[in-house]
Amino acid sequence: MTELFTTPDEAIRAVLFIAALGVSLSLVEDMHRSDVFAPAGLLSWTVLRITSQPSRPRPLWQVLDRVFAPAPFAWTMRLALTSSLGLATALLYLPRASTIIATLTAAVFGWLLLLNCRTVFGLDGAHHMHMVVFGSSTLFFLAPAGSLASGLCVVFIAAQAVLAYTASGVVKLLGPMWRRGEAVTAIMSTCIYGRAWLWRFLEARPAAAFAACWSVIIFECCFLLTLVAGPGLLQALLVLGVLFHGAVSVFMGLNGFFVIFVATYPAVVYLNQLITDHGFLS
Amino acid sequence: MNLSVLSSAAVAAALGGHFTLTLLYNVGLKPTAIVGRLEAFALLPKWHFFAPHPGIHNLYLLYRDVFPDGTVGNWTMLHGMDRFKSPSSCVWNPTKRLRKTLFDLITSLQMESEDEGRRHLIKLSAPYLLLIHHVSSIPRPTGAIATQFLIMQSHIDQPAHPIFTSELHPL
Repeated sequence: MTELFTTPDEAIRAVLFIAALGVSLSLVEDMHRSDVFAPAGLLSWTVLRITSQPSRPRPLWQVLDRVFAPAPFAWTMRLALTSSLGLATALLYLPRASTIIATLTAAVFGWLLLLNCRTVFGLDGAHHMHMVVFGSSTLFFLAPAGSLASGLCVVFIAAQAVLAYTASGVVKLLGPMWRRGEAVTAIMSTCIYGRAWLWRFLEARPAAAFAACWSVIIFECCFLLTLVAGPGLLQALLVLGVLFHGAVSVFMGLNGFFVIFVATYPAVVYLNQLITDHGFLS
Repeated sequence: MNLSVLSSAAVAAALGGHFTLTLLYNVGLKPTAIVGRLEAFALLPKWHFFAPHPGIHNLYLLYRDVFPDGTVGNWTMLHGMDRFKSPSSCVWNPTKRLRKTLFDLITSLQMESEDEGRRHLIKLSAPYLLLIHHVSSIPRPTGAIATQFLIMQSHIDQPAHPIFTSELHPL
């Protein structure tokens, strides 16, 4: 692992490749249930255009009003999907075509921004991490190659990933249900994020439920150590991260979190090497 | 000063500023003008994920219609909110946006209805308008003249109870 992602360029390309697959999956899912964005849907622009108007600058609002009409919006989704799939393909087969990669990255970021402009409802943590990844990757390609700025973009992705885990772990530590070992059982009892069989299993085994809660808290809090860990501990934490998101995906259906959070790991490895190899600790 | 130094300084300022605001936002910074602006566009991530108080209830959206002779239809549940996800949702979960949107709208509506200062404005709130617009737009047998929606809440294996009922709205 120590030989991987030693330059910002290597790290950002690995991050982008995985993230592009994640955005593609999310877009295909949204296109499959595009009724959510239809005029009669829950995220109808007919209503959102009225309720969001005061918080949007007038020229922007006029543009959004045209873009969010049903037909143009459907085209933006198709364009975003083409861009994300094209980005993954270009990163694999045209790695030197930086202009194409940069343009496709910016196009995907544009789509994510557009979604933010439409509504704050229905956006989850995976969407926010997509914003972090594609926003800083767009800046990466705008910055001069090999500059400090390009390195900072990768550091930003890693820092946001570490903050996400650590903040989540610390806030769970402050939650009485998490400390008592009841939170995972309670979440599993809900139709939206749970599994009935797992709820029954945990309900009947309080020790397992307690262990599940504290495993999550300890793992999330310990993720901060990826900044300073040696190769062995770093590898162990990232493998635990993959297993954690795999479990979240299987039990909670949060498949998007799996892809986008794992996508940030090359940036985390890069930042770890920056800190440990360049003597920031000594 | 060359382009590389200038761009590095600009990127450092932008990303450093965003990271600092995200950090403060996650530790409970009171909304300031800039945070409010970023919040309106969902540009500040809240990395709390089911903490400190995870959602532990099932929420349901139902609606019923009123007919010209005064009869009132039965409550009908929307979007199968009483059903658990399919096992394949770990790889293919196209309903997650719909479910998350419903969850966000219902919890926002609940918060608005519990806020003494904003309760009188609830019918003008985005969640209320989105829900009543959606419910009113559902294809239904001809003849209904008005509709209303109901939010119910339950814990697994316990009966559901109503937590919010809208007014009747003409169709």
